[in-house]
Amino acid sequence: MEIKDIYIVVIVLLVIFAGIIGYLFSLDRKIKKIENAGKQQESRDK
Amino acid sequence: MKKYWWKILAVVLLTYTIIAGFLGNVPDIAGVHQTIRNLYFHVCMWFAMIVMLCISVVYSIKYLSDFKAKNDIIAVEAANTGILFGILGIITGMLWAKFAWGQWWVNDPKLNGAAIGLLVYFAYFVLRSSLDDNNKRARISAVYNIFAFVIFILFILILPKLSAGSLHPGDGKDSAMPVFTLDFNLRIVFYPAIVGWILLALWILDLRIRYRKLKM
Amino acid sequence: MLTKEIKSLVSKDIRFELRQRSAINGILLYVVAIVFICYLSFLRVNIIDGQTWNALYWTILMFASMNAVSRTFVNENPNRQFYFFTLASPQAIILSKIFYNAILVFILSMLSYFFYIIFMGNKAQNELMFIVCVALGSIGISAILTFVSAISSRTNNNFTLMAILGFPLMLPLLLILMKLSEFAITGTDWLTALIYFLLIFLIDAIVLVLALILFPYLWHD
Repeated sequence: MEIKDIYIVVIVLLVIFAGIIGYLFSLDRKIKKIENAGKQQESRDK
Repeated sequence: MKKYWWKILAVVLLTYTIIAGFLGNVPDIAGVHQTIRNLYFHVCMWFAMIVMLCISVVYSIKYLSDFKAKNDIIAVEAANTGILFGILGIITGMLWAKFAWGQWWVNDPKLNGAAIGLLVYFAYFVLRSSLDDNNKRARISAVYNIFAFVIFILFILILPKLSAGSLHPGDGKDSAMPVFTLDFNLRIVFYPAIVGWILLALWILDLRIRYRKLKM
Repeated sequence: MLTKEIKSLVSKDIRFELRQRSAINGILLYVVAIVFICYLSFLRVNIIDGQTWNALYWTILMFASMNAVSRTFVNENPNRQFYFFTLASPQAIILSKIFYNAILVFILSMLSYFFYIIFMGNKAQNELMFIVCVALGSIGISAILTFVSAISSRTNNNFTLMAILGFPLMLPLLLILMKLSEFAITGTDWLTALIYFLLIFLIDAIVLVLALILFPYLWHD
């Protein structure tokens, strides 16, 4: 069956969506790393 | 919150929304036809925005009761995220208007009401930027937040009375939309979509709060 | 106790005003000027239907009220002001200011109405309804604007900030007021208008209560 236009729309949207989610995840991981480093500092200070 | 399960859930739900939203069956409603699919995006944005603004006002109240800085941070970031979704909501609304009614902006109380709501919260940020002392800023903007939120909610509730006979789908009877007359096909995507978008909003909020706390 | 405080605060404000007359004169001039300008600009068009009349009226009133209320918390003599405020409770202060401003706004509105009739003819078929609507509206407008003025008095940029904060917050009330005064103009019966009256009353009550509860937080400085 030929590729309907609507499928292309969905795929494009999914790609954009994946990009956004990927960005959010990377932010999440970065923040988590900094937070963990901070926590280790605290527990070492104690 | 650093657990991942609800973030994964958000991604799953939204992926489902995107796929099913466009490929699923929708009833052919006169006037809107296929554009009813925007329901899963535009209306959900409003819900997410309302949730964010509720969180913002709750934490403003909390701040006024114990004056802890972290409550103020949550209040501000929630307002920020709420405005983000509000803007997205208006953009999706304009897109919908263009295709359903032929114009980008109609003189409709609901649209104007949404714009006014955003103005109210923009004023909130202007107020914050004009105060320097942290405590004073937090306190005064908390007061404004509560005041503005109540008036905003009153406004939303009153709009249906004023808009009997507007173009917006679902006016004259309900304020949000005719949930009771929603077709089943629409419902199976709509309800998960609401949850998905709200979870996404919460995720963004969570990231912003943690980022602010780190900067402190 | 509270009512006595409020009464004395309001009478103090009124006496100040009568003595100095700075605010009233300025605002009077403002109103007359605007109404006259509208009259001149509509001379050409020649048709002022009820709706335009109505919309213009509320616009003028809104700007005039903002002008009037922006002066509530400007301390000409900060020491004396401070002395008064240590004597009275914050609730009394905010209520007295709101009450004073409500009277002011109502006087403004009636003056505008008067000049409107002179220049552009009286379009209101049900005058009593119009006046009652405006009276209730004055309370609400005054409450919102006075509170916003209190907020912006805590910062440095007074009038701009007040306009930015106050304008969107006034809009819901204004929309209902406009609808109601439209009813008064077209002469609708009281029964259909009743629900709008209740709405305005509700908004007034809620805003007043909010202002009462929240003002003390602004005040502790």
